[in-house]
Amino acid sequence: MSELADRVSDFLGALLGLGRSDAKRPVTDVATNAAGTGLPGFAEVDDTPVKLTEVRHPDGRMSRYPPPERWDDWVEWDSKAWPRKEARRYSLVPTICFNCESGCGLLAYVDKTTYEIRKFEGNPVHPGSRGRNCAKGPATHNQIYDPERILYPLKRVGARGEGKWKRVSWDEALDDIGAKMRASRQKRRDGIMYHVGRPGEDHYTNRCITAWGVDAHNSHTNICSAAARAGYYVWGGGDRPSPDFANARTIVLISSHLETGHYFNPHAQRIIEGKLEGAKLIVLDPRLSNTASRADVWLPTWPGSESTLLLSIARHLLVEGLYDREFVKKWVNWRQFLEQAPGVPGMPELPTGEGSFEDFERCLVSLYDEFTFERAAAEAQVPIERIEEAARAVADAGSRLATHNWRAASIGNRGGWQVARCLFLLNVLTGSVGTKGGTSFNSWNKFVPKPYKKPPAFNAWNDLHLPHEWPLAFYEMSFLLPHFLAEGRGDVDVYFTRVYNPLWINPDGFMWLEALRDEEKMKFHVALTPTWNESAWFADYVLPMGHAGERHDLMSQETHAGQWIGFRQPVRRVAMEKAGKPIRHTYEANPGEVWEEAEFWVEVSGRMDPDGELGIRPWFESEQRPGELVSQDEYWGWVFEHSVPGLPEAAQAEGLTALQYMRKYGCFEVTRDNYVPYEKVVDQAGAQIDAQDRVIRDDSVVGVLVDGEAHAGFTTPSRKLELLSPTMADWGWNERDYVIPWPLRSHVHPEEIDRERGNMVLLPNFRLPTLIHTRSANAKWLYEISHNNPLWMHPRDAERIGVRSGELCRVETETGWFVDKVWVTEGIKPGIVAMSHHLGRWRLQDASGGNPGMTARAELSEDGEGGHRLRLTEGGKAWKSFDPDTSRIWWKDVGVHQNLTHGVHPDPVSGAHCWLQKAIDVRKAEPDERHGDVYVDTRKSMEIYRQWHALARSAVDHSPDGTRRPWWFKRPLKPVREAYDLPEHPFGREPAAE
Amino acid sequence: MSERSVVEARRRAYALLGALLVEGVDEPRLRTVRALPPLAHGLPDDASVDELSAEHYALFGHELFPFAGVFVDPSGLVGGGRPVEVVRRAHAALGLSCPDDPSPDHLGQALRLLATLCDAELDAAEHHADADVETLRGWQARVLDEALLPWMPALSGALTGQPCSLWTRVVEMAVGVLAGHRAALTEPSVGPTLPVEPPREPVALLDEPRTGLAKVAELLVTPIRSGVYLARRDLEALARRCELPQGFGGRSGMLERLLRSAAEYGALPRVVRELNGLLDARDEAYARLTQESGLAVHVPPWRHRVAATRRLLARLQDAAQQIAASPTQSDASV
Repeated sequence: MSELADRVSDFLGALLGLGRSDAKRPVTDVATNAAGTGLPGFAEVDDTPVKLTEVRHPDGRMSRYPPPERWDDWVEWDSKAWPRKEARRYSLVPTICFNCESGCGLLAYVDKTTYEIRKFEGNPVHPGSRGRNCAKGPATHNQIYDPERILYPLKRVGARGEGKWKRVSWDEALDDIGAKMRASRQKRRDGIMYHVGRPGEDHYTNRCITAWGVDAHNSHTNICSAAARAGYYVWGGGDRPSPDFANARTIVLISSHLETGHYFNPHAQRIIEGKLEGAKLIVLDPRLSNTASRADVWLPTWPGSESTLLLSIARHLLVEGLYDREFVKKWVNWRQFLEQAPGVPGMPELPTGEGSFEDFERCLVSLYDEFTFERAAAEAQVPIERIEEAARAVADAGSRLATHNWRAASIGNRGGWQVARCLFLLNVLTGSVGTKGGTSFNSWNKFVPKPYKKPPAFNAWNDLHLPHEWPLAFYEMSFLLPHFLAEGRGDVDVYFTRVYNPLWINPDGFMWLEALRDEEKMKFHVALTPTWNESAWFADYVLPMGHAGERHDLMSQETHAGQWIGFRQPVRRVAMEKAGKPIRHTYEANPGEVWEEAEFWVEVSGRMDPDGELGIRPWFESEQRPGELVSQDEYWGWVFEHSVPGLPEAAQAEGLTALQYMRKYGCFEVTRDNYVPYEKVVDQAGAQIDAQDRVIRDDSVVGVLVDGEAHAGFTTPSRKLELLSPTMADWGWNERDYVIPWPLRSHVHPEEIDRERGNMVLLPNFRLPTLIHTRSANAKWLYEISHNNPLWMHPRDAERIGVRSGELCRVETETGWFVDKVWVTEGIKPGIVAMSHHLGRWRLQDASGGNPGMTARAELSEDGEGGHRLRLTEGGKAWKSFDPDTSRIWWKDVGVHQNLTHGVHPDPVSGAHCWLQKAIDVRKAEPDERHGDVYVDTRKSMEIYRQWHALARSAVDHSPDGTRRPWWFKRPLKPVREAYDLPEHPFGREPAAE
Repeated sequence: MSERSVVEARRRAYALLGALLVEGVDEPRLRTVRALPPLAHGLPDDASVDELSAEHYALFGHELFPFAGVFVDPSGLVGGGRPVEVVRRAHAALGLSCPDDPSPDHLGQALRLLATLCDAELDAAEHHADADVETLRGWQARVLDEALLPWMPALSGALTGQPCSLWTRVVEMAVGVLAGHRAALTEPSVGPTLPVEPPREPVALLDEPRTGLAKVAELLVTPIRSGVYLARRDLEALARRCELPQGFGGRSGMLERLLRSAAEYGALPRVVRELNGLLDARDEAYARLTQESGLAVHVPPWRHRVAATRRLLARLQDAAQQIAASPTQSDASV
């Protein structure tokens, strides 16, 4: 007998000495899937396809799609088998795209034999996207069959960031995480933090957090849209605009980001429809974006001059009498203006007269008279004729002026929130608020149903989210979290990052690196993510969560003048369940053990409070099965039956339950043509009218009197559109420049940028329509289209610096520098360099942490005193996997991670990060400087933080009522009123003397 | 040991080894392992589940991929080749759906299948269903002959480059149990399912005008072509011994860059010598496996491939020495 056989014999003998149950593990006969370990396979069937439904639209377009009545059993030829006729049989399951925030409809083709997904196409019945998708929708298929995706829950084994992981079961992860949440909740109500990147849903997670009774919601919004939202909110209580592009006569966009990136598909198709009907398109952008290239009037404004330019158009309307007097008279708080404006610091003498509307008109003309076209042309560095042309187009629009500002100038500049305010002033003056072809607020065109069993508001306030220094911060000061931790403001017991890569996407990424590694302050980090990212590398758990088609979510977006809901579904699960295969948890149907947050939150909440002692568990229990946790069918079944008007009836008409209807169609149109809702007449019976003509019922303001009739009005304190904002005045920003739409001096104002000394402006925040923030590095099709982010530079600057396209440039910022290739183009204004915000992903190990074709291999080094250096050691490359496409990667340049070198710029009012950077020096790279090199000194990071912090005006000094923040201001999750009281010992203030 | 006890022991062995390979350890399973000296030998008393899980992930996730496709499919990729088909059919014969995660050609999946077959055989024997017992043994022989044993020599040989651990012992024990199992079955063997000689002489690759170092590297890291499995650790050790950059990335890319660096620094002869040394070690390991009666028939195809790879390396060595001796190279190196 050989030595091996000898040992085998001992082994078998020893096994027989054990009890049967110890050694036996059940052999599963439940089919999961091959995704993650192989390309999908599809079964051949003996059948013949039927014809597609063909629709010819009135505007000449033609659509062809599978008729919905055949979606459960759809047969079509396999295009790859051509010219052979091989039939495939699919279950067509609708879902919602997860690759931006538009919520477009997708239709998954799920093979009825193998349950593999063949493709994603558009859902023809979706009211927002109407069957059409951009490149990001079909690329969901790449993400699902990405050879490098995380398939199982991973737990850190070595030190944080060491890259040692072990696979664990969901049970183990849930027990561990649930126990830590429980311990934190028992100790305090501000120890858990849920930091969300892409929400992709409207209420579900927020409900869960509320049920935990903690102030846990932290969003990315202050590096995204918070500034514009603040501007809109102060005007009318709506937190973002919803333009009716398709019916507009004039369209003004300060948001190439949005129209080419964020709401690209639903908005772009409607902008084109508007243009086909003769609408004029005006775009403000220093960069020739895709949108600008389609404009009738392109205004390449110097960053920070947008408000001045917009006010010059407003002046034109006022001086020429081209505004809608009736609308302004009815809906603007002009009486409040006339009462309060004369006392405002910095306000010139105004002709307030007797306080009539005509006096108000004279005040407006007088106030804005300084904004001539000449001044606008000089500040914006744009030819005056173009501004005049834009003004004429705005005046011609009447009530059909559709305007949009999302990120761009509002998030770029200090005071950017005033850009949104100045833009909306044009809507107010033209009476195009909520009109057909005009601009609505998002809440009028978005529908969020009431959730299942709504938990009460919590009594807690996390000072790491909304500290006293920024009482008007429109969203949480999330990008300053590492700076707050470094200052010793607190710590975090359980930190969830959800589809979020804070280290990569935020400015000052090395500060995040330091924070994420600090186990004393960031005690426990759980990364919920569909794909590897730089921040997940520093997590304690990496939990794989699904893409579109692998999860349940409900969402709605303001894509046009109507309201709809879209239901994201795990399509394999749905197809399996239709075929009679029971699934308890979605990870049984998803690749590997990829799960979804919706079920995860229920399960982890159950384990956080297993016996209900904390009062949390009941909110997660089923009504049908007492004591057991609620299922997704039960949750959504309740919501669709009870919270969506018209849905149960529509379902009944087809012999379906509401849930079955949503599983079948994936969407429902709640209202259509929802215009001017503020004019809705309110019943005055039994109501009181206060001194401001507001209609009060049961201690709540429900409307406002206009011309003697009660209307719903707006959700501002006055129920009117607030040209003059009493809130700004009350909370410490009482000067003219803040209380009314007015330009604020940007941190990149021409006087701050000494171009003679080589200073330039770095515009780092434009998007490409084919990429998904940080989440494209698992989508091969998208990366093939765009994979690098060169530095856009005007030929004049290139000549001055002495660089040509493809050569390397070193860009020095306030905190460090980076090296990138240059792209010389007239598509950028002289004095400005620009880089797309998506690219420059990296990984620290070769075998994990990111796709080799989409991320660069990098080395990090530190000097221990704040100096951090990132060097790319290898670019993107081909690699061998089950997907032959990975061996066909032909590009190496996967971009440069510029955000690391950005100092933080919290706007003193809106709290938003002001993305534009002062490039102190832009020069040709030295021979030892390589593409992708990044250097940052985090000591400088803290200096910059402190400089901007000093601009803030704390609620401690300015709150009118001893609270932290205006009660009427939005918070994603609003605590009870008591929680608004200012803290006894605000951070950074000496304790009050006894 | 009675025949029934042997089948029962085998069933338990397959279930345990399959679970260890696919799922790794948890506390109960670690207790089971500790109770089995042939597996627990050398396992530190304080070895934790976390450490062992990390080792499991490092070995089977980065170094040695225990999938038949990696060893016997010309693509060298998971899921390829005949073993998948056999495993699927065996599941179908038992009336079970075949789990696809991990891929059916994973060693652990096939071991679990054998556990089920043994279990079914025990049940059939208990009910005196002799025809069923015969059918089930026939399936066991088929799974062994077509899905498992053909690649066990190369897998076993690949262990020589890895540090000894619980996980190398698990693989080693699996190979031993499988060999013993086949030897005990009376069903006739179908013989080696791999052609004894490689379908194409590797050295012929060098005669192709478009062959570069990338093609050579690809051949060497594809076991069915070179006769050996080269793990990242093997390549890193090779680079260290030759004082060349270790490189990183996929195995093929690592080896290609290693060969390229060697050519650039005149170290190709040294690299070829080291590769030959590695082939010698593997060949010795294969030779030892001929003592295992259930496995012997599957060894020759691997040894023939090793011999063929030696011929390719010899040609490469000649070419390298000629380049080294050429005046241009000499001038360049001065």
